[in-house]
Amino acid sequence: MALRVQVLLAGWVLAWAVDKSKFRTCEQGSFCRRFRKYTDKVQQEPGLVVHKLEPSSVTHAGNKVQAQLLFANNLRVKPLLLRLSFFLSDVDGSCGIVRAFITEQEPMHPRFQLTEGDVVRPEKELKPDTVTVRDTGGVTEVDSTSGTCKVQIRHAPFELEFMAGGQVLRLNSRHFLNFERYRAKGSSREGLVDATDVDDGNLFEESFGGHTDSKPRGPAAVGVDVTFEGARDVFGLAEHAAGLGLGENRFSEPYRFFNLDVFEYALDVPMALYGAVPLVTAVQSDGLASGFFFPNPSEGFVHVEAQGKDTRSWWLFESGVMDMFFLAGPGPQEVLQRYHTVTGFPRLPPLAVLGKHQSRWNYVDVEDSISINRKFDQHDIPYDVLWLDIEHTDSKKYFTWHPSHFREADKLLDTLEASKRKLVTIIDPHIKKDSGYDVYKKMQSHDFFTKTKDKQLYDGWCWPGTSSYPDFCNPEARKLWTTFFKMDYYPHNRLDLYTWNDMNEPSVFNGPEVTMPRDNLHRCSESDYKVEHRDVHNVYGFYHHMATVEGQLVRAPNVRPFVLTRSFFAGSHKHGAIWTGDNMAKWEHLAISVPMLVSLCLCGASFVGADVPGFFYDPEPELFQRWHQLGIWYPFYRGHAHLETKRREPWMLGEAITQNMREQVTVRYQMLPTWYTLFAQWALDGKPIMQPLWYQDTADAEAFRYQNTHFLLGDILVRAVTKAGERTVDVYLPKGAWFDFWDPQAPPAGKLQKLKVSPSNVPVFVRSGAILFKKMRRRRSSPTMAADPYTVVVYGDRARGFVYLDDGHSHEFKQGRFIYDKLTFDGQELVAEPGQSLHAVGAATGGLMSQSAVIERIIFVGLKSAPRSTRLGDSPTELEVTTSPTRNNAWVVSIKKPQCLLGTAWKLRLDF
Amino acid sequence: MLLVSLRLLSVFHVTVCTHVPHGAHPEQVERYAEALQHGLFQCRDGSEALAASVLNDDFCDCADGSDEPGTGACAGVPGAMLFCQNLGSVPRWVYSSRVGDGICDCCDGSDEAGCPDTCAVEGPALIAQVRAREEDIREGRRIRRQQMEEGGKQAAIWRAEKQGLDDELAKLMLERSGLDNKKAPSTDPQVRTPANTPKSTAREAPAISEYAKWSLQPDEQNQAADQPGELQCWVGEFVGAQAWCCDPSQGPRGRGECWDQVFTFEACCPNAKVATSEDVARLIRQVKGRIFTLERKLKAVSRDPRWFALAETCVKKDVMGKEFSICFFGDARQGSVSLGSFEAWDEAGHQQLYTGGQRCPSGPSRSLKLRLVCGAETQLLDISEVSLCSYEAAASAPGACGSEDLQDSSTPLTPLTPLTPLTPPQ
Repeated sequence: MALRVQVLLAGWVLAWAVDKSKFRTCEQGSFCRRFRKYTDKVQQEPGLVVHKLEPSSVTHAGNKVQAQLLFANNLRVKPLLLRLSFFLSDVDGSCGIVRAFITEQEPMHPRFQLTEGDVVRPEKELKPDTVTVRDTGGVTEVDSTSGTCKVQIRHAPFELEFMAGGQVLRLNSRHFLNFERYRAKGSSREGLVDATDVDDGNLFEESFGGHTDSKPRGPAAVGVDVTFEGARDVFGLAEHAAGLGLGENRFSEPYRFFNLDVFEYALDVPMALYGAVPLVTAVQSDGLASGFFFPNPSEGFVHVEAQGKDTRSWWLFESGVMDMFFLAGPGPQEVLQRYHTVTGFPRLPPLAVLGKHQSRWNYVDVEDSISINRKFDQHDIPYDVLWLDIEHTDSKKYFTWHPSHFREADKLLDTLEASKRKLVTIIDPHIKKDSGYDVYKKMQSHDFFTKTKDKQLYDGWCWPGTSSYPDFCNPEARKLWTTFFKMDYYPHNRLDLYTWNDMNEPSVFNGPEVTMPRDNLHRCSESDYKVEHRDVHNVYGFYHHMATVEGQLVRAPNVRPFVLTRSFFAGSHKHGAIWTGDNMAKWEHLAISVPMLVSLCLCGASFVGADVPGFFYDPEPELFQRWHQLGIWYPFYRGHAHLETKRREPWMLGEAITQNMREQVTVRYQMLPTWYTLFAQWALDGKPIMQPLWYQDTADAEAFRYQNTHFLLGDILVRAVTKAGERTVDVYLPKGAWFDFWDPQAPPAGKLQKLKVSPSNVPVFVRSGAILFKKMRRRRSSPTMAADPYTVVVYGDRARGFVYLDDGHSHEFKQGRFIYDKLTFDGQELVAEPGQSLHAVGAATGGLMSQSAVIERIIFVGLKSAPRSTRLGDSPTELEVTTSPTRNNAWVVSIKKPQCLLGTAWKLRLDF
Repeated sequence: MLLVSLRLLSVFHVTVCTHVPHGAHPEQVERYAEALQHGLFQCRDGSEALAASVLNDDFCDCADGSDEPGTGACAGVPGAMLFCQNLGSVPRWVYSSRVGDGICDCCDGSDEAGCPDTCAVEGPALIAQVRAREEDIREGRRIRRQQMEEGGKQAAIWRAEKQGLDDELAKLMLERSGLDNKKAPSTDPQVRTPANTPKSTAREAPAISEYAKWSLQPDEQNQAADQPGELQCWVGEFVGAQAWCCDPSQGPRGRGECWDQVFTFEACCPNAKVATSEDVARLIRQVKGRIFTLERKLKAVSRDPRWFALAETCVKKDVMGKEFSICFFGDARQGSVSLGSFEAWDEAGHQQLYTGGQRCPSGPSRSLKLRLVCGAETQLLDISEVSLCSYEAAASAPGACGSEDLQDSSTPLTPLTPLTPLTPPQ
């Protein structure tokens, strides 16, 4: 939840919106202001050369090339170091990952670099791609020996071009490169070296909103331009409450990266939000894709604009180094697989957390919580996880329980366990300053709290009042944090008591922009507190999340963790789920949730969701229903509510809505086997779960127009209903035939459809050629479905699909103990091939104990004719078949108990 | 919906069903016997005739789920349930979604393979609980019937009293306007200080009647009013006034027992005369107050006369150290904080809405939803703040007892049956 506005006398006002003046624009921060002036100057003087590569400095070994960049206008300034490293994709071994690293040599203060392995994997784990280097006079060419990937470096002015197949990315072709070396206050120099030579205001101190940033180390910004040649648009840069296409030239302001707790955030703006993934995927008009990734955790601005055939961008960060990655396609999926090669593959969540989550700020006490659980049972509505927000603690001291309301937390945990459900408790990063609070005492005695610029303990104001903020950047502090999750430390603990990390931007109610001062100090991996908060701001939440996940692993190494975070950075997909924070029960927020979540998925984070049906305010019943109907198609589906809203459990709005909720939530659960497969293919194969409409066919220009529709891995198409009273909607169905998920008897459709929408569900279509895996029996929670048999639904005459299953909760899958089958249908035979491979874990070896692998039913949708007989393999026994015609004279054919198991090879033959 | 259904039957089983299929209710034996004829099974909705072997074969064949009373195969089909006989305990219906899911729901274990029969263990207590509840409901219904009758009478009395007071008020208004015209110096507000007010004035004023004496010195008179036999004319201390005459010849009675003796002021205190405009003003206030009270009471009986019993009742409960009180058709409080005053019933007549309580620091004014459930005793069962400044409470009252509440130990529990109105207090 966000800071609650205190309205004492104004009463009950609904029309709140973000106070934009609280948050900095580019112009209001000196480094962005002067960068813009610098780029103006560079553009106005085309012959200007600021950086040139010194050809004699080029060295190369294996997959690495190194060179010096001179400041052409002042050769006395120490040159910059450029290092290029070439790597292969982990997934298919192809070339197309180039790391370009630029920093200053012998800096006055260490330039902050993320610890290897935290966000970006250690280089030694990556597969090197050996290169050859040659100087062709004014240009150095670096060629991958394994493929068509290459880099060309123009010497003066310095420009770099990355090419892979047909994709071209140009770095510094507009000569925006700006590297502000650390300097002593009052030092002077000659010639144009960086942006401070264009505007030297506020280099060593600046103020905003009544807070002064002391900036003792002075200017340190790094920026550069990147051009995506022939790209119709670029996508990514999560998290912003804006549409998908970044280059639509809607905003004069650049996209901002500065993780903040923005109260009642505005929509369709490039303002900063809770998290930051500085990654884009560019899609060319010929359909080829490429990516650019710049993992710098300081405040960032990225400007994107369409310009002629190209999409141009510039990237600017307040401090740190330039550590950039070029990622080749050819498709957007390969870009993402390369991104996962660099940052690591996602964590596979336990099966149970793909079910429904029920949260509220706050379920009052144990009795209230138990009664919620009971009512789900009474209404026969499945759910898996109950959530407790901040009020469950003793005075907002995390790892404690409210002394009266949750004194009997065990009673609640036992009740949930009896229905095989789970509990999530909130664990925020701010630690109440209270000498009687053990977490505070321990953190304090180890000196693990963030410091002020004067190395004093930093106090900020948050939920508990005066609080201290652990230095999560420090691995030792994280290690101590993990011990708080131990069974004997956290009262009422369970091996699968899950966690919610909120407020971890960090949110500081009395701090500048509701966060921590930039001149605060962290230790990180240093020996002393000398890393400024500005250097690491955007990874604070990342490390809090990481430490919490590690805590759960310390508690139970073979139980998969589940931690939801609000703040995140590139790489947070390795830890857990992300949600889009404190949204509102408004139709516009429902509508923006789709592009926001798709954008996160395009940034490697697919375990994402938006609070249903909006956190602030009371939803009207139609919005409530439409949002849940959409929410069942989010990867993370949580109902949540603000403290001041009315109760909104599924049964609160009358029998008709309760009935619809029951049916829709049941569909979510029936689809769990498909969801789980999607999660496995994401976590273990790098394929995003929610995809934009153009994802499967980047040459389909029309598909780029639709933001209200998303794919689930290309086979299921979901169209959000985003307006009150909407009775008909346009649905764009890309190439191919599409079956109505809700009505298998309906004729398949294609192209743009004007559809009458049902009040009971949002439009969902399944691609002809897809195979879905379901469990049809409604249960109370996902673990109670373990023994249930599967229903396989084959769409169309030719189809292919995969199904993944494992024990759902342990790490045994890493030893191959999972089932991963490919099913193919050629019109006559449905063939199951077990033992398929997933990149991160190899081939399936089966060996499951706790899950049913029985198929109780196979349904063929849209067969041209009804089969005369159906047999499994060579069996003489004909299977029992029910057929029914569709409205276009095709057939839906259902086979009862085909006697086949997942994880085994079999053939089902239809004779016509 | 299937337009045409073609079922290729590979196996035919001919069985005669003489017993109840697993999971069906014994009363359904005939229905299943009827459905199972000539080796076929007819789905309950009449849609399909299938091979008899489909019954409880762990595959959902009928769209209505009727072929799987004893398995979880049709879990999710509306109305699909299993009946556990629970011999030795209370029979119950469970949703098919509970069948074969690894959790024992029926004490006789009939919903799962491998669940022990625990009915003998849980049965006696559960049956006792159901019986007690049943008894409570019976008693509640008896009281309710009584209240219906009494309430009707009481409503007539209140209406008559209000009528009388309306007349009285009109007269007093007239009288005041007459006094105002005389402009008695003693009533000049300019010569009076606020502290120097009615009470002292009253003492100075000539007491013309017992009623006026009493009403102007309520504290002392109220004490006296409790003395048996002395009570002649009684006015309560409520904001307004309650004027009652009790006939001392009927024996010693407290003021609370004067209900059936309601007269107009004139009938009760025929000699009442008021000398000053303060006295008149005061009487007007008191009469208005009584009218207000009566209106509230009449509001209580306007929906149904049986609620008259709640009109004068307050209930209290301590929850986690906080004292909550609700006066039905009046005010709800937590300690001294108002949670709202009675506003209206909900449409169904099961819930009362109390609104306009003290405003929250950053939110709306407090409000309360009070759910009334059947119980022989009138008590506050539960109250909590479900969202900021929004409270929900449940109270039991005989008036809430209807025929639908009656549960006896031979009636199976359904998934939605609340065994007790709410969880018992901690």
